Amino acid sequence: MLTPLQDATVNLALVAGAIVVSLMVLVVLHASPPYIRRWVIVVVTFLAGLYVPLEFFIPRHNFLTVWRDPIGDLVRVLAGFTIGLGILNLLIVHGRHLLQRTTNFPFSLAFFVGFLSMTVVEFLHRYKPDLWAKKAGADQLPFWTAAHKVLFEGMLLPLTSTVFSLLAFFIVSAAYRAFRIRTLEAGLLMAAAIVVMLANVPVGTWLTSWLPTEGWLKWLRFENAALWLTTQINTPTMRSILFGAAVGGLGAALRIWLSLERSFAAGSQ
Amino acid sequence: MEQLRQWLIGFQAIDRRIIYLCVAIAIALPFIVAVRLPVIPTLPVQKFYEAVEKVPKGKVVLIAADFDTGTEGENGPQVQAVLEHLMRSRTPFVILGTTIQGPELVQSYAERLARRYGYRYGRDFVNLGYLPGGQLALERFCRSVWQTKPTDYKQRPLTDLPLMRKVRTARDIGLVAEFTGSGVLPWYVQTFWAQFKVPLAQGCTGIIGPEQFPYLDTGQLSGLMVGLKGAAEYEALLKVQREGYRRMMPQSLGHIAALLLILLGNLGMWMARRQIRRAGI
Repeated sequence: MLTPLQDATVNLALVAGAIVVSLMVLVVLHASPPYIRRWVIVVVTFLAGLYVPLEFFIPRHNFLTVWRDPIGDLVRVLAGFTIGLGILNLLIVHGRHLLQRTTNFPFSLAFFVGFLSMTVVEFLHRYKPDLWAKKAGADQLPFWTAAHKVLFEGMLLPLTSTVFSLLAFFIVSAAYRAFRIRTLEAGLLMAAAIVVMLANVPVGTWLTSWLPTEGWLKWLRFENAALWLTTQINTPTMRSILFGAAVGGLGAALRIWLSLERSFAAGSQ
Repeated sequence: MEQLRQWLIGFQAIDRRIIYLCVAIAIALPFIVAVRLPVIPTLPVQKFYEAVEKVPKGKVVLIAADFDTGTEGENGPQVQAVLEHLMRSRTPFVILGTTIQGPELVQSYAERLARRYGYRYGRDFVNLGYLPGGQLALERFCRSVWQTKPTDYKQRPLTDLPLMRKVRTARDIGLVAEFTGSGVLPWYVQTFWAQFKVPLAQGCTGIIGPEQFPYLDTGQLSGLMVGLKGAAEYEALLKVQREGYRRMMPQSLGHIAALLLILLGNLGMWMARRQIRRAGI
């Protein structure tokens, strides 16, 4: 069913055709009155939502199964579009800051410099790593591959890791302020936190390493006490939370599927 | 005595800049002074190790690189430890990611380790790159690897990569080792595990660790590596001390600093309460 074509010309023609048809659909939708647009969304959502459970619950290899792969491809294409939409949105937001010279102007400039340099370097690294540069020797990296390494491993990696690491400082500061033992429950939480925190670092293992590894005393070792807390106390708690969230998710999915979510069904739109 | 009491009461409102400084010193200290402490592998990590050992001959391991540079600090050492284990046992592997940066990061680790263990791209490992589309795309991947990802991360057709000749569906995969900082595990449980019974093992960040334990308990996860500690424990099983172990030392002192500050804050609060009680306010 719908096997990919190997002919590049036919593929290009199909892509061009798909773009033209999509644009026409968009124009027609845009020109339609809001209630028609709403009904289109409702019907498409209902049919899309109906397909997956029907295909799953009717015994395998039914009349819907043949559409599974094309729908899987469609989802991947849609996911690709979301990346494009995200980029477009960023360009509009930061472009506005840049053109209007708002107070956030330097950040938007930094975005454009970062975005454009990364995009250009990545494309050249992938497709033309020696473009406008001397051909790399046997034990040398091509120019644009080296540039990619500088940007990705030398800049992006340490920058994002640094931002993530800043959390450590905020978490310690917040824990210091919030973790006050005023009640029995807070005391229990504190005791559990001490055990788990110490067990998660070698210091904790070292502190109780003098205790035996066999017999009931082994449960006093931080790593064993933490494992017990995690598997015997945390697991059932997390399972019930996950179960509750799953039931809630099912309810939310039903509401979206039946277009009962007002915000989703576009309200006045 | 009164001065001491007032000094202790002061601990309940330490300036946040001092807290930041304490944390910075605690984290930086192990880089200056060498500290060596024991790491004892826990059961979930041992299970992960055993799951890798049990991969049947002729099958590949799928490295699901679902993380990005933000959580590289924890997921990076985890993946490197597992890759080293795979290369030692000459187990071929395929890299795939539902995040854009993950496969790129794992490729750099694999290339570095491949030089040491004589692994060759295309023959012993392949990188299929980023797979958009979430769970539905993964389901399609399980049924047909070649139709879902006809090329590798550098757009080379799979026909040019000898390893991929024996990887057609999820049935050719002996283990999925997933590394993430977000909650995407259900995607793999509902596809690879539920539909094809491919064993799953996960390396996750410390912050989402508690959410993953129920899957270990039910047997849907064959092994679990939580945070940097998990990576250090895996290295201990491999009898090496690499990034996981090295990064544990700053984390150790960071945890100690956090605990001391919390205890000091409570000490200050108790002293202040005692003073109020005594004054009969």
